Amino acid sequence: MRKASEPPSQTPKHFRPDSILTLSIVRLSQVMQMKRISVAVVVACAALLLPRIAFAHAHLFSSTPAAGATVHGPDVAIELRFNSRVDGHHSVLTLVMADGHTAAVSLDNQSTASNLNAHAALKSGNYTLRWQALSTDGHITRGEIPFTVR
Amino acid sequence: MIWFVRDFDLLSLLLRALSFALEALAFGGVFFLLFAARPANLGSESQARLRRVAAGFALALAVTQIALIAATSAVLMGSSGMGLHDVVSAAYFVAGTIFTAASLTLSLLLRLTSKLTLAALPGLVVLAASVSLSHAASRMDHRPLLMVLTAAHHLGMAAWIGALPFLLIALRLNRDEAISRQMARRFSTMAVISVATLIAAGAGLSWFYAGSWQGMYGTSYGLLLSAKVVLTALILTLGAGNFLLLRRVDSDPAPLLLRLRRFSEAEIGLGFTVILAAASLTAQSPSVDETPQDTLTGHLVVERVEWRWPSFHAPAFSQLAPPTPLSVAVREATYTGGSVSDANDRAWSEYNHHWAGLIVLAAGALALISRLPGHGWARHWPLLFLGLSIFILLRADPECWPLGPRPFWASFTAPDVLEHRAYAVLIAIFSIFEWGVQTGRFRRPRARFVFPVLCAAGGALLLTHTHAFGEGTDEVYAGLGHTPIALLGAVAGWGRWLELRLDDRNAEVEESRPRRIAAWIWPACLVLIGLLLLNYRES
Repeated sequence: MRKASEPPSQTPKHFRPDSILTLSIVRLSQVMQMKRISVAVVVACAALLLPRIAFAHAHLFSSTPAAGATVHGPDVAIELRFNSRVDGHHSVLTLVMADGHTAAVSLDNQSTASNLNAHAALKSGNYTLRWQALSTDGHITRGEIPFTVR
Repeated sequence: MIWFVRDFDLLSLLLRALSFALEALAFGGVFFLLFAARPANLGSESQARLRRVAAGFALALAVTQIALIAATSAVLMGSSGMGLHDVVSAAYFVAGTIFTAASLTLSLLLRLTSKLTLAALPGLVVLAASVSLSHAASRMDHRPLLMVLTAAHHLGMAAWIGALPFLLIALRLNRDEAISRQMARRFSTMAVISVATLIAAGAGLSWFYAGSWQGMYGTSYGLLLSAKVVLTALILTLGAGNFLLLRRVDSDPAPLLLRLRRFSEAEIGLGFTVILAAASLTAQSPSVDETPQDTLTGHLVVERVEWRWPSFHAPAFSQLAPPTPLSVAVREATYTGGSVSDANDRAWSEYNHHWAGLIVLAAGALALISRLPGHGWARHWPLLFLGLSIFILLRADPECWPLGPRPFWASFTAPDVLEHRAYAVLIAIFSIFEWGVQTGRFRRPRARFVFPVLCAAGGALLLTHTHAFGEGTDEVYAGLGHTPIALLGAVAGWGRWLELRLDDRNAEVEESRPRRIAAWIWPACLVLIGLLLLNYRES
């Protein structure tokens, strides 16, 4: 259970499926020729009929670094704590640098079944940690945590 | 195809709902055969037919599971660079594969042999696999107890809602009234036990997942849970009606069994609405995991639902936030909640909802008036919905054609716009069909069911849609506005369905009463939806 004392900013915004819908439809429009627009519209209409749900099954309780926090480098310990069991072998962490470049972060062994743990050697600067967690029941959740290394 | 390869999240929710429904139907068939059809000595040919139907549902369940595994795997492989070799070791993949194999075995056994006890083993494996993919399996606390309660909840649903279609099929196949009466009675007993199991298990799960009374109304999960409770109560009311019918079925079997079938149709429809809500719940964080900041208090809920006179003044178009370029919106929204509406955007949206409310209120009032003698002119009320459809098309999306800079086709790339336009088309379709039916222009029997089916389906989809508007209390506020509308939409649809289905020329006089009630319920629901829309607020 989440402790009431934890600051709300620890919880990053969750992935919104309508954004995925946007993504997908934008991609569609990029690759399709005009003659296939009708197909795109049909697919899009079918997508519309699907319920738009925030897939928030694995809910992030807290994180280290916290969202918006400043931490000391270069060795940065990363810990994400969720409300439910997450699959540490199939979850993904990615660091986004200030210049937009991304780097995958290797996950360590889980300290508990509901945590994701990792370490990274980071220079001073602004970063965003993107996470994608697979819960044991097959749900995928995503979020991002901006932080600064001093 | 890119949509299918990359973004299977949405599809997976629909597949989960389908999986729940098919699991309930496959198990329901077995339960009905075991506890109703066989003890009532239903003919062997009819039993074989029921087995084949159940086998078909089990086969469809296996196919759905394969699709679900493929969807989840595609997302994982597409977004994380994992290979198939990595993905096959994931818990969902293993459980899904076992689920598929057991469903196939169940289907084969139901098709090949009449020994239903043989189906018990694959049936248990299906149930175990299903529970292993539920909320319960991923919880950190009380895991075994939650898994047992979840299994009981699934079985209760299967033996009630899942078995109901088999009762209808059996009543249709069987010509012997004595056997029909006995089957219906045995089903009724089974339904009472399964409802008790369902409610007890559901109450136990709610205790752990909601955590408090506030958790039943102050979060998106709680609102959905409460909607499930309300729908279940409605189905129980219909079920109680059937239960009472069966007590006097000996006196006049034919019309009473017919009425039982009609009520059962509405029960099934509402039952699958509950299953859709249940699938949506699996994608929500339980209320107990939400922070106080993300949970509405009772005071805030009362404040939100308190009546306030609607505003019919919209901000000027120039005051609205300029539309974000799509490329930026897509990048921002992938890992975050996207852009936030400002006060003018909310005022614009509330203005639109208020006008929509006025139109729906007028339509409902005219539908009620048209029931009165000498007020045939009011039968044109569906045309008001055509006006609503045009209103949505023109006003709902200020950033898009015809108001905004995004051209007509490009505007379809925004999901909200797409949604509004699809609803506009659906509303236009059912308004035209219902107008034709009300005024006697459309006489084909199937045309009569377009309005109730679309109305019920729209309500069901809105029930799932209510949780996609953002984060924290914004999302809950939106849910507070939409959840009652969704429930009333489902009730209106099935109310109209009952009115039409109970319209039997050979019906006895006593049968006109439930039909009369149904005929008043759905216009009243439209009036209430109108009032709710007039009181719609986004903060």
